[in-house]
Amino acid sequence: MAVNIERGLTVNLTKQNLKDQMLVSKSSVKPLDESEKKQISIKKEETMKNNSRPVGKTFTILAAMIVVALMTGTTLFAANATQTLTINATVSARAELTLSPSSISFADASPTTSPTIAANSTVAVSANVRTAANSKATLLAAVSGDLTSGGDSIPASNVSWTASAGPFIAGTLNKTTAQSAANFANGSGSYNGTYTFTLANSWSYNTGSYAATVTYTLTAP
Amino acid sequence: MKNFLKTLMTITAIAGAALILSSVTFAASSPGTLTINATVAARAELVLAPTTINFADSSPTTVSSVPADNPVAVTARVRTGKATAATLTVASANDLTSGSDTIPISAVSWTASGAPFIAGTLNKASAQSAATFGNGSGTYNGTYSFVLANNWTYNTGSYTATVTYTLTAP
Repeated sequence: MAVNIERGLTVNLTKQNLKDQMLVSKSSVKPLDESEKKQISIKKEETMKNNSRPVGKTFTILAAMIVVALMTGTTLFAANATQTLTINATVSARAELTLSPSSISFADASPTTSPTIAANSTVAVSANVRTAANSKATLLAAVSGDLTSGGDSIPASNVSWTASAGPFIAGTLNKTTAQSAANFANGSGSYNGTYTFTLANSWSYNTGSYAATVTYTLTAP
Repeated sequence: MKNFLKTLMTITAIAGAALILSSVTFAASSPGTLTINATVAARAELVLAPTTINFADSSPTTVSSVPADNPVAVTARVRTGKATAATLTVASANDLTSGSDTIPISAVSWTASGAPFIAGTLNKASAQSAATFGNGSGTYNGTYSFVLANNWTYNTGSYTATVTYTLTAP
């Protein structure tokens, strides 16, 4: 390490120098003469000039700030942060069927004047289906037996129905084979309609209170 | 004894001279300044947790709005000017898709807890605001709760979509 004391004297601060300097008396230090003082003054002015460079200084600060910004990955003016959110939804095959009312009745009537007997009520049907886009639901009406009253019976095939609107279709009950009650298009959907039932009347029916249960099955494959 | 005194005086004189010399020759003081600079740049940090949510299958008849399996915790850290406000938008470029089947992304909506986060509905045409920040910097925590509008018209499938949240500190 060296300290320039502006007098052309360089003192190396080693242990030995310190020892030597301690032995130098105060009188050996030569006072500054006028020319030396002038030289020091000039050097001070030059130093001040060198230190007062606003453009260079500003440039240095800006460069440093840019470097810091680049290193930290930020900008000086605006910042964005993004985050993604993945949304998953599961839609499974699903079918819901509603019949209302769930019981209908055919009143007694003369086969002569009423060859077909209308049911006491239409049946509202609602079918909600979720299925694949390229597959279609089915709706079947199955009856396991004829209408019975004790040992008497009326053929189930004497009961038929009409439908108010698509995809519901008209048909006739069949105790052997379940009957289609709708022709659905491919894919999911919600459908509403009505069935209107009639019973083919006949003089051959024995008196009695007949009943049968029909099972409707809506399937969403 | 005389020599001893002489020696002592000599040592004392040398020591005194050394002290004077050192104070004249080596001691120096100079005022110094320290300039401290600190840069606070615009900065934004956004954290969503979890980053995936799921809507389970359910009957539209009984569940008209399907809640997601989890709420999404949101943390937004913002550094901006005291006269400017950050923004948080959510962009969804596409509908929920499963092969060629779709569920409109607008069927997904959310509620928010904790200001400045706000409720909204996804829209694939334009990014939606998800928060209304006040001016200046801050840290904000809240949660989003998502629901899917259920409908019988959805075909079966496993649907997915990715939405992007962008927090901007101007």
